[in-house]
Amino acid sequence: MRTQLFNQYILQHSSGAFAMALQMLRSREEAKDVMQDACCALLRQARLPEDSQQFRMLLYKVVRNKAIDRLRALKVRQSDSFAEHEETLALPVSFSDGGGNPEAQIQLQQQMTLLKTALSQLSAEHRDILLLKDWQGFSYAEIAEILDIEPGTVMSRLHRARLAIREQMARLDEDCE
Amino acid sequence: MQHNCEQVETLISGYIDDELTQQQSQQVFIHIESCAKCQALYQELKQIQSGLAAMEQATMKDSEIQQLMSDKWATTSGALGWLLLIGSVSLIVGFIVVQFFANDQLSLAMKLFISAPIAGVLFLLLSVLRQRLIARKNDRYKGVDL
Ligand SMILES: [Zn+2]
Repeated sequence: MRTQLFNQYILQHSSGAFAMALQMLRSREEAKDVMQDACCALLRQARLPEDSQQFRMLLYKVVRNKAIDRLRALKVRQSDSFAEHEETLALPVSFSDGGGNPEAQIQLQQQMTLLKTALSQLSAEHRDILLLKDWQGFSYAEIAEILDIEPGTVMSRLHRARLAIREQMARLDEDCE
Repeated sequence: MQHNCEQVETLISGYIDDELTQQQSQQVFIHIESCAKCQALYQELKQIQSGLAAMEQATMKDSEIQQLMSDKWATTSGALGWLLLIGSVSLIVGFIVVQFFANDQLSLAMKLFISAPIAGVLFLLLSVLRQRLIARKNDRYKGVDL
């Protein structure tokens, strides 16, 4: 391992981990700091996973824990500074399909905004597991490892999270009409 | 049917993620084929899942990623620092030792008598250090602030 492999894995996996940290912290600067902290902590390890996927898992785990520590320090775990950083949510989405139909595009765009707003209003527990599974594509076993929970509880927690975001989306949709 | 729905509901998420056993998967498949309520839930959750998957990911600039990598300058300067420290300390220690043994005013017996306990302490320190290093090597994720 050491330098060369570490750099290679950072090149491969740091963007996803950064995106995750940004979702949690809603500040680019904070997320960058957390990434730096996490990488320093990893470099201090006597031994790091040789396997790319194992490394990715450990990176997310450390990044997430560092982000939680920081949130605790900042005390902004909930969305009190939500409006201030709304730009992070309003980034354009690239769609691969539906290019020809502007109406469908707009509807899709609206659905996406609804989804993101609902996501930002979830509890941290629900949001994190949704992001790890549906956004970052980790398996249940990997999520158990990252979140330090029993593998058997991943499915039920994830399901509750999906129900929660569905409910939140319905509520937001009602408010709009 | 109601009882069956409850049984199947959580499994719908596992079904979407392809994390079920073949038997469970079969159970869900059969159920949602015949139950409109669970079929609708399945479709909705699947839509949420693909929506989240399509969400864009913020990226870092190349220069920012470079900063995360093991900084070569820091590593080499760190190594250089250690080298200088160890080098100069051993020079000083060597000088003192030579001065001490070259001193004519002390008898050889007296010199040995004084240096023996110091050497003993040094050996003890070395063996502790060695054990520490071995323990560190064998402990995989030691020190990760999790
Ligand atoms: Zn049903």
